[in-house]
Amino acid sequence: MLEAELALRLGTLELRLELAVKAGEVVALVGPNGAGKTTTLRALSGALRLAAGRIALDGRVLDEPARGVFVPPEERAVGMVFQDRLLFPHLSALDNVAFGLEARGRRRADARTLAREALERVGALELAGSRPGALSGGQAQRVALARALVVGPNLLLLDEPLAALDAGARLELRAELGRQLREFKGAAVLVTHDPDDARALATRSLRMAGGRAES
Amino acid sequence: MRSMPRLLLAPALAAAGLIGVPLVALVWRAPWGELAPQLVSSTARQALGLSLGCSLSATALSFALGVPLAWLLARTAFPGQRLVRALVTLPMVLPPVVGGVALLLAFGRRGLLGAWLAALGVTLPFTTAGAVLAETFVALPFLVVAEAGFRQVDPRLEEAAAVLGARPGFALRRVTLPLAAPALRAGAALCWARALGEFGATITFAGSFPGRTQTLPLAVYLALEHDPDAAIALSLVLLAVSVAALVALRDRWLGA
Repeated sequence: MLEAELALRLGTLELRLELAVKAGEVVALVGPNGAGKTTTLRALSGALRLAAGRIALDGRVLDEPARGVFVPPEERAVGMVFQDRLLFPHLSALDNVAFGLEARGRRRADARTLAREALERVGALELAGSRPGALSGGQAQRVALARALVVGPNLLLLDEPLAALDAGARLELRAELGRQLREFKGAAVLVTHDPDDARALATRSLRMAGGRAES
Repeated sequence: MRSMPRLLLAPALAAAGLIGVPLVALVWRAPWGELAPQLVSSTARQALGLSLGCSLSATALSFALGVPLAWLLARTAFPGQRLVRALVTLPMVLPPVVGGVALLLAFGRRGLLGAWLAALGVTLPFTTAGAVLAETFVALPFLVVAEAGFRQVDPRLEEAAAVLGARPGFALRRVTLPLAAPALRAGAALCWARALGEFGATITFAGSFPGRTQTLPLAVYLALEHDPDAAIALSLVLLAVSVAALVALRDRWLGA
């Protein structure tokens, strides 16, 4: 369960948003560019600090400036998928997926075994040895999804995961994402500008504009 | 081939000749028959060994100090950053002999830090450690400008690493450094070549004591008076090393 009251400024954007997402729920944030959707995700991941408000995940406070609490990204149980994937270009797909496990102290051999299983679950096992540069957009996003899920996050953040894909790959990946989200036990927040994606993947939608939710 | 203004031809040829003719002359006049005996002579071996030791130490020291500084310059903002960047790259354009004088005024017996060093029992001028320090002074900037390598790494990759659970040190080791590695390797190679050829700062700060501070370039200069063949043979060694460094750089790291 994610409970968040976000308040921060970034450039000209003034974000003020209340967001509660139960475990098993997928909330879509929709709205135009500059509405504060990605900024919301970055605050939840810990890449940005709140100016005021509070973020709590399963009862644990992650960010609450008033009480001087800030948990850095690497200590939050959060997974994130980026529009441009951000796979590590010097690592194979398998090592990309194993990265988070190794960062959390798993031994390399164990991490690779689990990474292989995670790739298999998203139908990308045959890509294990490929470098990100050799993958198509859809393939790379499957690997990115496996990388985010393999560490067992309680909160999954998806930033336009289907943008920048061609139509065929988009439908295929949307179906895959739907399967993964139904199996996912935690809370999920999906940023998209496409109402179809929101309808297909989210349990409810929140429309944003100018850093706030529209009712 | 595109036609070229004739006006450019003469200066272009002169430029190539200016660099090329002396190098050809060096190879042409080399005492090829006596090269082997010249190079195994004790003076040559001593200077070569000392040069390798000093230049590799200077490169290691530059790497250990320069890479962290390059990272700080690329990834953080602090007051006086531009001044620090300008200062540490200054030795690239500063006459090396001035560097040597400055080193004496800092680390010499009566220098700025001389008394402290003496209290610690450390003597730098006219010692092998001093030669390493002089080479580091002129070569370090080549690793600091590898800052560009860190700038090429997308900071969002580091953000992605953090969200995956990577502490800053882990992200640095596993993401940032490997991605900046080509620039750091090229910087290290240039740094080493510069240290190996160092003359002015070394002779000013460390002097020219055979076996202690008389590196290959100093040995070449001193041999020229009484034993030109030895000077040419030693020059050839430096030339060969430089060419090898350049070829390695072009093939592997500069993609040219």
